[in-house]
Amino acid sequence: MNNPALIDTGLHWIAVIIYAIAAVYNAVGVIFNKEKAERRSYHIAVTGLLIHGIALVYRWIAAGHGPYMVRYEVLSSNAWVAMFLFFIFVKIFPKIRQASIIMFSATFLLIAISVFQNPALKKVPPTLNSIWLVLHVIFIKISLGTLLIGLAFSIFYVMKKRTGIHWLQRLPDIETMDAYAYRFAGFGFIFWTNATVSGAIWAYQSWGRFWGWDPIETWSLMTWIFFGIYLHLRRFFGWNGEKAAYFFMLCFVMSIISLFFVSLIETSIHSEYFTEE
Amino acid sequence: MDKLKHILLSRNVILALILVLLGSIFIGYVIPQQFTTSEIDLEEWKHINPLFAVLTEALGLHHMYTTPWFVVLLMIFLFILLLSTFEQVKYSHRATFGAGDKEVGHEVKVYIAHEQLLSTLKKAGYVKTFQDAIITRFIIHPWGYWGNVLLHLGIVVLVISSLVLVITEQRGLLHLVEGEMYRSGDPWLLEQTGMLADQFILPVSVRLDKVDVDYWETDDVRHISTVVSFIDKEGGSRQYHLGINKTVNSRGLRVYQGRTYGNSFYVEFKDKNKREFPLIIQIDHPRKRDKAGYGNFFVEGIPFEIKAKYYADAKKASMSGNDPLLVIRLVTIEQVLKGISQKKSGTKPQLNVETEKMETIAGEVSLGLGESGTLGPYTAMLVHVSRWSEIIFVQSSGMTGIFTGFIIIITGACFTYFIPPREFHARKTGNGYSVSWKASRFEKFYESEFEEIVKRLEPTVRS
Repeated sequence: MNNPALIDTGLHWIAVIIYAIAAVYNAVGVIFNKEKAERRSYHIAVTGLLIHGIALVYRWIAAGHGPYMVRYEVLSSNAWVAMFLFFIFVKIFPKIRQASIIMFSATFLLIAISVFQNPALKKVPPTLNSIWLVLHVIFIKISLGTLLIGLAFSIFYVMKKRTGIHWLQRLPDIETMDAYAYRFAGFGFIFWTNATVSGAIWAYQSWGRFWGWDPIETWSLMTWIFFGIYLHLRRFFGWNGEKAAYFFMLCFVMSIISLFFVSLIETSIHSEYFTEE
Repeated sequence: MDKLKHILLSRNVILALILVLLGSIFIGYVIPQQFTTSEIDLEEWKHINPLFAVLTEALGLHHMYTTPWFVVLLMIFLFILLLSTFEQVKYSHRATFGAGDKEVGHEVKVYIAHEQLLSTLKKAGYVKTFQDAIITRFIIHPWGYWGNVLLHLGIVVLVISSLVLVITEQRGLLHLVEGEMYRSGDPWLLEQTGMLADQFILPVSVRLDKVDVDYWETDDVRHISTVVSFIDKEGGSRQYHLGINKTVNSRGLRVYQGRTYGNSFYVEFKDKNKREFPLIIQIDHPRKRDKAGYGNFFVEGIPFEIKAKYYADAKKASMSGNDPLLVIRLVTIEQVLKGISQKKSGTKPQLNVETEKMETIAGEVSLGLGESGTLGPYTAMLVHVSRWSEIIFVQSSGMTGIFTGFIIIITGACFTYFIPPREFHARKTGNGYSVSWKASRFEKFYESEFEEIVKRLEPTVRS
């Protein structure tokens, strides 16, 4: 039982199972208006979050660096941050409670994909040994978490408007959901900007250049401009409702491509942390 | 003039411009750029995509960000952004300190003394920003009105600073061997200068004194550090310690530790007539202890290609590079006929001659330090081994502006999305006030604020 990889993956699998149970309870609670099931889903998810957190800390200690080197730990920590942020935001904005149906499923999905990746520990190369990298990664994770909540409300908006599904009627009115999507897009945009800034400072510190048109940098900039256009359209063109929701979904897809797919298909400085040798 | 301003600031023009910029960046991503792609790869891409190649050449799409039309586009964008920022300053000033809109929202009548109104709103976090005989205006987070100004101003500062940096920056890259001196004015291994920058000449000479590399137990690099000396024209010398993420600022220069390093092998070749051919082989360090680093070389007077590889440790037991093993191969390369085929091009038949490269090994030898051996018609001796490392020198201005721009953008975005201002209007009517409220953004989230303030003014309310 002294194998760190075994303990780490074991804890992760326990978290996956707990999140799966939480997601099922939550779906039942939200869809069939079973308050008890919904409340229980939160308790189960908190347990999952704790075990998941222990797994991440354990891995952090064993690897000697944060969860930003291999896809396994990146996806897993993204899942943790998304869930953690949701619990914080649901305290601040209780009306977003029903977004749990998407947040719980997304968290489960992210960690489930992560456990099928190579969990081998990788040592941190000297260029990644910087506080700016840590900030860069934290901001990206927060951005993804907030955008996920925004996505939930954009999807809810379209579903509520387009379908007569009964349980959707218990969601906040569509104007409120539209406002939530807008606001969380704003939050996501701020943290995406912060991530870009800290990444630029890190690049400047490591390589003497703040921008190098690296494929991930380019996609990240395009995503930032997309969200900029989304916010511009809402602010100055009076965009709202369904077309804004669809545009948000497009922006979200852009962000997912930037974060997870470009490093798979392109050679990039960012691939250094994603390379699974 | 006003008409031109109106056109330039119209929402559609701004949106179109953003889309054109976005499209340009996308093209810059799809088409290989010459500053990130080798010349061979670029030529190969042009060969595979002949149609795009013509367009690329004509519009300079392979160096998108230095084409005149992209610069013009950026200038227009910058001009409009400046104009828009100026207009927004005027709007934000009005919104913060002016009387505000006449109609703000649903009005509620309250019979309350002015002092009581002031204290109630102060308690709710509202600041009095305007007062005349009739109107008193309160705002919570009035600086939130300046979010857009800061957002746009930040982008202006960022773009201008980036342009200054790009056109004035000087970068030079060196691969120095321990003990080697790079003299001021010598050619760089690689030099990049901005459009308005002169040739990059260091004010000092630089000597690499020492290279140190630490490894993890997995053979991955843990840390690279070097000691360099700056030697001025008077012969004065000063030593600096460089490392990854540990840069040195001196004499207006920023000096960076590069990521590549390796060993330099001093090999002495002798032919049968005792003629000596000294050779310095500089190869990237292997990535693992059981893997080799590779390099190909040509030496004047030796009619072979020299293919070399080395292992960090002769016993493949460590990554330290203190006891490396060098393997040299002499190779002759010939183009041999592979086949002849006939194809029709238009009406004329054409012969297609296919050749392939064929390598013949003329000799191979493995050498430890101080060892010698026979290598084809030569004897080769490994005389000395030392380390080399990449060092990067940068002279630039504009970085402070870039980071200032970033900070302004973030502050602006935070003002806009975290602290939307809300206004409370009190209009004097008889012995009371007609009060109303509005939020600049996300009104749905703050509606209850007005209700709570009005509740605090009860029981004097007559709706």
